[in-house]
Amino acid sequence: MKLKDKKIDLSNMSALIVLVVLCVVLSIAEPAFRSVGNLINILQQVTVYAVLALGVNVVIFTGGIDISVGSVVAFTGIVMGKLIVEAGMPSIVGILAALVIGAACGTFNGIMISKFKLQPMIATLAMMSMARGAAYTLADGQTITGYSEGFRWIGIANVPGTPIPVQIVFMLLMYILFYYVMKYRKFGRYIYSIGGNEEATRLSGINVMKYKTLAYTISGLCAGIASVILVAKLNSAQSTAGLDYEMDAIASCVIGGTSLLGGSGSVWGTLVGAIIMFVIRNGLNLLNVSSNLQKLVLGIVILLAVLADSFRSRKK
Amino acid sequence: MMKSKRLAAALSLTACGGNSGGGSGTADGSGSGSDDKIEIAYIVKAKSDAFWTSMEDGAMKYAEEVGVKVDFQAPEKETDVEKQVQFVENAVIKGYDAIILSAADSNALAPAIKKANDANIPVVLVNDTMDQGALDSVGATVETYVGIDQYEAASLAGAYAAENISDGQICYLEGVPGVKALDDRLSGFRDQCGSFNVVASQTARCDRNEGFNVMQNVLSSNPNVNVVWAVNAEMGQGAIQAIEQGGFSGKVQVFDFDAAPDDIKAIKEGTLAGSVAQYPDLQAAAAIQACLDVLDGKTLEAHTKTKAALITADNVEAFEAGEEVG
Repeated sequence: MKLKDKKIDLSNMSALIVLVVLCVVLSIAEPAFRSVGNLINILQQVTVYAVLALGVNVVIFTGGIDISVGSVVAFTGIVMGKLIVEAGMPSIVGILAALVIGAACGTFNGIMISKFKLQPMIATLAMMSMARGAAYTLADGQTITGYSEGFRWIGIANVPGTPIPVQIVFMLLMYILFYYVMKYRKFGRYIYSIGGNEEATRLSGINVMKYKTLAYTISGLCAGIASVILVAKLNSAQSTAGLDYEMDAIASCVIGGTSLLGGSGSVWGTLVGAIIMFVIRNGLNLLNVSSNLQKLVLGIVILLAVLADSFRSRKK
Repeated sequence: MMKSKRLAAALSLTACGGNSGGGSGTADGSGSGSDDKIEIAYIVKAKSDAFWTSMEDGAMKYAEEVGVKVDFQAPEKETDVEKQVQFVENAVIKGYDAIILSAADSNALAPAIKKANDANIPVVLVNDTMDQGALDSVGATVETYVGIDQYEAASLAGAYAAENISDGQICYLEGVPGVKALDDRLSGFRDQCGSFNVVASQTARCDRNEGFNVMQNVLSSNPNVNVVWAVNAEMGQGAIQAIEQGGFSGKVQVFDFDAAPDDIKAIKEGTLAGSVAQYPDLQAAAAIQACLDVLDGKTLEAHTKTKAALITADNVEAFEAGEEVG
């Protein structure tokens, strides 16, 4: 256990160093980067992805993967939009429906994986397709717009008296909660333990099936929460929302030092990983770097971050 | 089994060919049973947004008008090229009389089109065209491409911006890199707006949330941007939200492409300066008519141009009412 803690701290550090270096370089290259407004913008842009990554991270800790979250964002968003805008229900009903359906999609994934022994990639690939298809079918090509100011609060309001959007505070609270649970509760220990050695965990009497399923439930729930923030931010739900977001979420985890093999990684590292990606995008936008180059640069930075991590752990 | 189907198709071809020769009037034979109707496979890129559903409605309406059967199909995602290839191949096997295709990739569909050629099934392209070199390399041919001229359509918006705003700082929201139609929309607008100072030309990958994020980023380094050209409606809508949230409302004139329902609403509210309408329903009707003409033995121009118009606050009411605009 001790050893693992050490490793987590180290991988955390390498991502943090990359982030600091990036910020310093960008501040010199483009003065607009270091304005408070811009830094707040970056955190606001990262929120949806960081919340998604939070859930996916728990799944990756168990040695699994969840590529359905982007589609679940679209599906839950459409259901919520239909309920609130078209059926005229109170916002809270729509929000609860999004969270419950998100969690249900995740639980379904979890059961397929833990009980029916499907490979995580395959099971969540099926969910990715089903949820997207359901979103397309329900939406029938329309975007659902027109939400109340009350509903949009989470996506557009600032903390009173400050320029800080409430969604950033909300995201940070979620990270604190996850950090606490993963580090200090037995749930967290079991999750890491399953990823480290599933068989040994089972033999020590832990209900592996239950905890694995719960990991996917949490991932689905986070997708539902991300969907609420996204719809509130854009004032619209559409069936194409969240396309490819799962890749950004997984990349955030990996850049942040989470191992795809399971068993190691940290909650805060993932936030750092997500912020790194958006700092790069933001910097490239500010510097007006050609669109064709942006993907290339992003790919190189992802590679460098992961390589740095890999060298570090091999040295040990 | 296949042979008898093909034979029936050939018979129906001659039977209906006479009718459609008269023009767009209702085919007389259409009531006598579905078997002798001309059957057209209408394969598009997706059904996931208002553009395609509007095209489908237009296709169905016109199909009924002229008495042909149209099967409207699409893969789930616009980027699912492989799936679309399969749709075309299946349509060839099933022996449709003609195939209307909105190509998801301007190269990859060429071999599938060649298969349709070999089976003597005419192919009409709609909305998205093919790369001529790719067609030539496998010896495939298409009857015509039905659609707007993306460059000309975008220049409608560009000319309007140049005339009404004249100068200042402009931000371009590009589409998915490598898609010709989106590149044409970019240059069509840009070539009209030489008097503006281009402060940003960035992709937001045709996504609403990305449109929001990129617009927010651009505004923080260039708070004096006064014109935005988004090459699709999703990015335009995202940009509008970012402008509103950043407190730039009224200072930035946003133009986008598609005149989707959201755009129409935004034009009325004054948050969108203009949007280019490309009338998917008219494209569908023209594509079906092109099939009928080809089956009738006519040779068509390489590009059958359809209508595009710039919708602004001045003509939005007329556009909504379905009247002729600009």
